Amino acid sequence: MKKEKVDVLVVGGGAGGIAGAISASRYGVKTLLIEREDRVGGVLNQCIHNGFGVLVYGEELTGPEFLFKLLEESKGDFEVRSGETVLRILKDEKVVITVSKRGITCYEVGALVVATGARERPFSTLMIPGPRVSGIYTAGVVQKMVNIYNRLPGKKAMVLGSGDIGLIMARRLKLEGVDVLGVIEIKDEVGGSLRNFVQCLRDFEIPLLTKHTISKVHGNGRIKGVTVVEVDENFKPIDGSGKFFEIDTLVVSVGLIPQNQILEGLVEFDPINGGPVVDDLQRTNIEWIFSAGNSIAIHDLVDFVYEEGVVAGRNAARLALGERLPRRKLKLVRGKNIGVMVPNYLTGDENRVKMYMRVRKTMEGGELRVQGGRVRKYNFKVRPGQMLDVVLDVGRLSFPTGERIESCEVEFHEDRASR
Amino acid sequence: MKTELRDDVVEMDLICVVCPIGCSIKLRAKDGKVEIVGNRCPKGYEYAMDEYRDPKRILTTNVRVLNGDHELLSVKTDSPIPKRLIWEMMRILKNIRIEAPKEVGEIILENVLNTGANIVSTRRIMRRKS
Ligand SMILES: Cc1cc2nc3c(=O)[nH]c(=O)nc-3n(C[C@H](O)[C@H](O)[C@H](O)COP(=O)(O)OP(=O)(O)OC[C@H]3O[C@@H](n4cnc5c(N)ncnc54)[C@H](O)[C@@H]3O)c2cc1C
Ligand code: SF4
Repeated sequence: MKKEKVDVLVVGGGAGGIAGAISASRYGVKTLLIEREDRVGGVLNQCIHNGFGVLVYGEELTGPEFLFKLLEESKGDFEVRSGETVLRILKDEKVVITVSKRGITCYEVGALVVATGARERPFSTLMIPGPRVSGIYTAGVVQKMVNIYNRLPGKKAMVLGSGDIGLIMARRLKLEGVDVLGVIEIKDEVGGSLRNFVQCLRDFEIPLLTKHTISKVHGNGRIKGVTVVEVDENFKPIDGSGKFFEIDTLVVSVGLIPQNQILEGLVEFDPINGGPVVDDLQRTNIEWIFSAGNSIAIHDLVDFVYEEGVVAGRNAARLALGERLPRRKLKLVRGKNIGVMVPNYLTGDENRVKMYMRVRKTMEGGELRVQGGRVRKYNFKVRPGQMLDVVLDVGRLSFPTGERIESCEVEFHEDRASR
Repeated sequence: MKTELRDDVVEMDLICVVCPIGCSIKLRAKDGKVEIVGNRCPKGYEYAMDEYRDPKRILTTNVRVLNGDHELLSVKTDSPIPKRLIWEMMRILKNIRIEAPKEVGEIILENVLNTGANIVSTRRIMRRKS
């Protein structure tokens, strides 16, 4: 077993981790990035479509191009070790244990940035009846097959779930010559962005079946088809609405889940985000562990993942340099209509704090409020499928005088007038 | 979505994708006169006009690689091409083979189908060590 000392260790070589490593290394600390695959980039490698980096680089890039720019930015400032997996974190010792072909290594670290991304929610969690057959894949797996390994999953497909990844894969398969019969969505509107709805489905005349789901999978060995039913407002199948579609491939895109095995049992988790509770320094409740990207909460834009990585890396470096970072001062609590929300605490370290959140339902417009104060007005439709980002002017939050405030509520106030 | 009512009337229900607001735009063209409603800003007007005249898109896909460390090279058109040419473009790209290595931004095909757009590489591909 080898032993090594590093100032900032970053786990996960996706956009979040690379941004974190760049940012930490700018402080002159010894920074090491560990990636379990044999190349860095995470999901960027397989996302060959464009739509990355408008906020960070001011131009619309494909996933691989965004990765290329990111790596250009970082030339040689930190070491990358790929093909190495982080196995365990020893909290009291400040030690991180990894395994690779080279063997087991123990890193004694000054600070740790965890950016381990997300995994896909599997089909089995939907409890849809039918035999266990082959030909059912999650969208990310199909994306990797088609865009990296040059393999098509089948000839006739349907996509379950209309989030961005489902829409993008419907288009990809269609372009590759697969007959895509439709995208099935249980809700009454498309899950992903309108832009992807237009450019992936409308452009290619792929039907979107809203208020529908799969009630049964058919087949013997390989999938032969699915029964698609209409659902009522409680998502219950409507009797007699079932229709059989003959397919050899079902692409399942029913959500991503933050991936944090190495933090389980160590840090406090936010049940709604699905990842660790963090403050505005991107710090978990363990002082030396920071987190960024899809392992905190699912983001639709790489730009936000990048921004979180920059903050995490910077503060990890400050800590590694011996600076005492401020404690959590104010808890941000979810109020009306707020779902996913990052961060959970403010320290007062920064006057302007970037917040990311999702509303719980589609609304025609409204106002984002933090403890009574207006933060931003939205005079257009807001949807759970689109993450909102706002800059919180912490210095200007107004609190009743005399009281000691420990938490404040964040709410999305629906604009009824505009309905 | 385009509905041609009579030879001289075209109606389109569009969603502007220029910014996240996603305005619903209605376009109606009659005898060469175009009426556009629903856009909140001039960009939406431009978008709707383009959709009416000749909608354009960036195409992203993969081409096969010879002697590379990966089988596929991801590519894109370096400017938007007419939507109607997408299938023809895909046919061309399915049939070409590219010799590794390739750098990000290298031109793979110049001025494809006379669109003025080039097909450029979006990934770095190394030569396979054999
Ligand atoms: C299919 C798809 C399409 C998307 N399209 C767009 C788009 O068009 N525009 C846009 O802006 N955003 C898009 N996104 C958003 C995307 O979520 C983010 O852009 C971003 O790339 C996520 O970065 P990350 O670093 O959080 O995670 P990831 O990219 O998942 O990186 C995590 C990395 O950590 C590594 N890892 C995990 N566990 C360990 C461990 N124990 N030890 C070592 N390494 C480990 C993994 O191998 C992986 O490389 C898309 C996402 C997906 C999935
Ligand atoms: S019309 Fe203007 S405001 Fe509306 S979606 Fe298009 S760019 Fe945005």
